[in-house]
Amino acid sequence: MRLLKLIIILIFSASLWAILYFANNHTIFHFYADKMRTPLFTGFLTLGGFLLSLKTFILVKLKEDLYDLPSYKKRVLERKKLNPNLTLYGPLTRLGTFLIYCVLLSLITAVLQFSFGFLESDFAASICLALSVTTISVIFIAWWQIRVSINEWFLILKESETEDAEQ
Amino acid sequence: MKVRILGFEWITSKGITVSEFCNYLESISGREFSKRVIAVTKKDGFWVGILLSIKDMKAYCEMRDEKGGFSISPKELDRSTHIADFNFFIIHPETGRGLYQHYHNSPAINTFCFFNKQRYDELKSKIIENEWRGSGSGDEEKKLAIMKNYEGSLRYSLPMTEKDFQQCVSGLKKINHIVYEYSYFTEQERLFSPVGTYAKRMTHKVVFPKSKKVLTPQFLNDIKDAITEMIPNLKGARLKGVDPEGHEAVYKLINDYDPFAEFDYEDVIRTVKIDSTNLLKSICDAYFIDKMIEISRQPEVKAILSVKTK
Repeated sequence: MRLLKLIIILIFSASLWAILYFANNHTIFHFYADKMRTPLFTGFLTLGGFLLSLKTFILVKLKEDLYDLPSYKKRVLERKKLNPNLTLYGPLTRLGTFLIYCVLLSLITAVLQFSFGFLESDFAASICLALSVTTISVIFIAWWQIRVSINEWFLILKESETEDAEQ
Repeated sequence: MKVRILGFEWITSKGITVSEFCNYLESISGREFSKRVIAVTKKDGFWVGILLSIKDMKAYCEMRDEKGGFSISPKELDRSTHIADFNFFIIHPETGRGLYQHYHNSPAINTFCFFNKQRYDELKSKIIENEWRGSGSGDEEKKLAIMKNYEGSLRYSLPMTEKDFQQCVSGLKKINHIVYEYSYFTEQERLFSPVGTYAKRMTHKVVFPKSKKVLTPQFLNDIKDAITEMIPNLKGARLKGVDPEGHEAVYKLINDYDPFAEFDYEDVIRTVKIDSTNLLKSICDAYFIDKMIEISRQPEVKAILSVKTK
């Protein structure tokens, strides 16, 4: 979790530094105000709302169809012999928390475009743009993690199918 | 005298699986190779077997306690009688990990694995020869191409406890490298994704120079001391070297648990009954094989034998 936080801070700092590096006499602010502010606001507002409704569905589906599978529970029980600290729903709980932060970050990014983004300064525009880049990266990480879980689910289904066929 | 159950792991090379190798061992069951006989068969989802080692000696010494001392006298064996060592073993067909029964003076687990490495190389040569002849081409290049498909040999390592590991390290003639294993046989919980099919392993490899100029006896002792000092802080380690008999030795340390059992030699030997005319059935019916399968079903041992690693 610490590494993830560090990565997010790094993405934000790097994008902020990169945008500020090219800032010259309000060029960034004008580009941001003319071309980016409105699309970023509507985009992140929609994304936040969409993620909010999708979050529960993803978690419930993963719980019912993957984490509650008897074969998965058996696997966790076997691996607990190697690491007693292993938990059944630990990864799912953390994924849920991460998705909540994704929603929160999307909404904060959207709100920032129409509040902080109105300040006529390159720095304010850079902050808004850097936060947009960070939020997109965080959502990409969340999407990747969901993909890993779904792949694992399909693998378990495939294994069960092979076992059934053998029986 | 104690009979101990030790663990081992076989890692086959390209093109040959553990089951294919065990099938080959089953086909050569009962055949003698340099005074050693191996027999393997399948039982309860495991490959089970015995390694018999026939000793050359025709006489042995018997020590008799007498009032105030003892006397030693030679005992002759009949012409048709030999002294034999027996070592039962079981192997998980998917992971290549298994248990080996060992007692003092019987072939060490390293000798057992080396014996099987030789059989493995024989099998590999046979497969390559058959494929080459089957292709109908007398071309040496074709043979080389087939050989590439079966590159490598049987690798083996011996998971052991801290005490055994220290003893083995101190007895080594040469140390090639040591690999620290931080998460071997350990499942680290992932942050967001479920428990995967395979357990991961993170390793750090330290290779020592082969040159005799650098690897002086003093330097070797320093390495041994350093490794012995490090052991309590390691979760696992894999060490490759040369044992006192000159064989390549690979030892694996497990610090987390001691899953292996111990028995009294007298209790075990009373249960051994092997009939060469019905060798495979004798192994299947052996009391000690049942005992080893029972040990393999203990949750901790089962986890070690069956966990898949990449």
